[in-house]
Amino acid sequence: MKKTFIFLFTAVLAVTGLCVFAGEDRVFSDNENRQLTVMDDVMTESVRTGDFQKALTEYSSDQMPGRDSLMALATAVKKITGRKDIGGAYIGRDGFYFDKKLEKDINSERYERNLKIIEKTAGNYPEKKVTVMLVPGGGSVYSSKLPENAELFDDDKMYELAVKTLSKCKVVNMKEALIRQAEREDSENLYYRTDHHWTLDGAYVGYEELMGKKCPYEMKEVCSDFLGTLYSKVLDKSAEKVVGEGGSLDRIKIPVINDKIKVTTDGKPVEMFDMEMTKEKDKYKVYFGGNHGITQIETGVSGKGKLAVIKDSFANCLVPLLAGDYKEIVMIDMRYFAGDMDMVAGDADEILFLYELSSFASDSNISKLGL
Amino acid sequence: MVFSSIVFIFMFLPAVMILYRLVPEKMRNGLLLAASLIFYAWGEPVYVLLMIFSIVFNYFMGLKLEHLKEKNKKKAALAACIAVNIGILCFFKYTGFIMENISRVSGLSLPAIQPALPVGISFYTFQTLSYIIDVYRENVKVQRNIIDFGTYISLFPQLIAGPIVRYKDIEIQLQHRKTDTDMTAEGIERFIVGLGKKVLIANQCGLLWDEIYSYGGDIPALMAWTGALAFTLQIYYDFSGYSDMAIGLGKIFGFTFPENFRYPYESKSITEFWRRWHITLGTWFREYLYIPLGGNKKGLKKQLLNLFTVWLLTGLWHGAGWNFIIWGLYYFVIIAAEKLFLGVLTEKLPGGLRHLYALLLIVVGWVIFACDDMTILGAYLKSMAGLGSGTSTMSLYYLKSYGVLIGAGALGSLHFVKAFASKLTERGKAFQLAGYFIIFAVFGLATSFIIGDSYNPFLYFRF
Repeated sequence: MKKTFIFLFTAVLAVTGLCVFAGEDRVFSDNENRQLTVMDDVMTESVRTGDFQKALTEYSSDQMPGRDSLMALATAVKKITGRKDIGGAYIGRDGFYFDKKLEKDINSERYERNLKIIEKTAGNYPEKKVTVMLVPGGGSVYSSKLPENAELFDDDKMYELAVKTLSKCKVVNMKEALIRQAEREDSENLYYRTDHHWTLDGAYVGYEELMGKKCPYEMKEVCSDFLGTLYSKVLDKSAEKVVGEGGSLDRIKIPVINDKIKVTTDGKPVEMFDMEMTKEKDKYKVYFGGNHGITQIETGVSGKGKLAVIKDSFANCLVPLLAGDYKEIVMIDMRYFAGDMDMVAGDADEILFLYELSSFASDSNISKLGL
Repeated sequence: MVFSSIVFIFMFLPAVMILYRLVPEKMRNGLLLAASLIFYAWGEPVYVLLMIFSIVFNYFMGLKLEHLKEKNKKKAALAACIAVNIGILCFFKYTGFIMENISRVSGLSLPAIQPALPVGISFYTFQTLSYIIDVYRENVKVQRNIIDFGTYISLFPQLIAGPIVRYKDIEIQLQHRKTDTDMTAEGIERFIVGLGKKVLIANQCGLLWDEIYSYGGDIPALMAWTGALAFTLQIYYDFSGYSDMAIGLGKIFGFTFPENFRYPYESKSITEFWRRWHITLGTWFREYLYIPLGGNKKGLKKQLLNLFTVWLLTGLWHGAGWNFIIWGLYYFVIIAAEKLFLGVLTEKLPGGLRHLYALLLIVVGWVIFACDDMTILGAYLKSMAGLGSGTSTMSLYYLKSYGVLIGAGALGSLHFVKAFASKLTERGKAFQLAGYFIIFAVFGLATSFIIGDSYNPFLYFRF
């Protein structure tokens, strides 16, 4: 028996090791939503500096046969032992996952600084109406679905500070409205179960708060098998079923907008709703095909003004809803924007800052506006 | 290279295992030496030159020591050799620390120079010194074969995290060793157990400790104790897991290394704890420092001074930082007190209380060890005393989320589990077979955790 054991062990090691190199390299992991290390990456590195060794170490882990199943096994075992968060995401109730961001994870100095930058910017354009919309995270709206005793950062305190600091802006606190809507029995999910973004239903609530009226567009479902970024953190196999069967597969909807709208990003024409993305891993990219430095939207609606939106990805599903309210909308994502603010937004009648709260607090690109 | 990586487990190890069986017996040490140098060159390739220098230098110093007959000359050669070895260790390990503190005290702004620490240098320097000193003492024969000597110094199983194998422990094994089926099977088993301890328990406890540490020290008492307990388990499972893997790998290649841990958390006193924790380090310090200094033979005052020296250096050996110095002196104070009066006092207590006494001091010790930021350390100790702030909601969350892990970890640190398992496997073939299945299951699970966790820290980079 011992001889068999030794033989089996050695064989398992050697064969698995060889299998790492066998076959085509996987280039991208859909599950984890990231590039994997391939042989070409390894071979270009130097042995002397140790970079080759590092790359080969990563390669062997990335190209390990059965990688996805092994990761799912690890998650399953952790869940059995009672773990309530994996990879920085809470495993909530009813198939919900939430970003695990605690008070200690919030950089309050940067948050305050970012608020001051906005206030200063508003001061630079006294003739423009400046609105700041900070959307809470999903866990704050669906707090009853968090694991027992799990906490999140104190967003109420942060909203208070925002109202106090931003005297020249209109501050839209989305938290109350979203909670109110979420508590209604007929409410659809305002946040995805497996992704950190809000859904189109959530954005509708945002529209109502922002514009003070109901959103005029119907919604239509474009896919029903979305597994988002939170899923990629946890890699929970049980999420891959539909909701009724204990899974978490999310649905993505788009508004039905019949007007002819011209959208260009960084000068190139794009679709407002990129249906190709429903076949990709990150299906939230349906809205504008993802984030771009500048996105210009010409709605052709006459008699209305121009809006500049400085934003993160939470804006991508809300901005299309504004198509009937402005003649022109320019969206700026500071992470990918290196141009001159005045040039693109100087002639706008209104400015809207639209961010998810914690991403706003940690954003290091807002400082490009200058303080 | 670390043991808990796919490269080591599925490429390096099977290659060396298979080649070891294929090459003629005479070339086995050469193979192990070559493999060890590749293993060492994985992280910082340049330092392999340092390793080769160490081997060549000490090889010739050994020959020189044997050759010299005059006592004074011999002593001088030994002193020079120790100075070079310790000098290299100090240069790589303490330069940054010393510069930083000189700057602080003198107000000068010296450049912050800290060369990258060659992995395992503290371990192999001590191993080298054991050879040199024992050659000087004529306890061992000088090694004339540089391949065999190089194999001893660089042997990859214990190269980077111990156990510290004295030359005399494996002097004979270097030339004459047998690898039979029993030993190989036992070695594989031991390796897998160690891997499981490291990946399934230590790394997971480490996640919890890192998270609690990131609060910055000012936390509710419940959370502070949960974190302290998590680190207590992490360091035990990590370190003893590494030793298990090293001993197991040693067996696969026919070596019998000394044991390094003997259920240290079962101790009833701190003196006992240090006889069960990192045994090979304690043995080394006793044999090559404490006893040569005079040990307990030259009066109480001298003995206390010797203890002080040993514990200061034990602290420093673990890393260049004030927390390690404090941690070493903390144990000096407790062990001196136990020798003087505390030992007699606690012996009168019932067994349970003695366990509690030892465990409390050990846990507090680990907090000192783990907090390399003095401000956090102060705040953390205050929090453990109940003077921290914050509500306990999140503490309860951590307890619920990690309770099973902590419970299993605590149970596994006692000798019952192993004793029970060995008893079962003695019961017959079916149980033995079931044992192998469990071993394979642990191996598969450990592999999945290595793949699934980006978190796979190496704790001894400061040693």
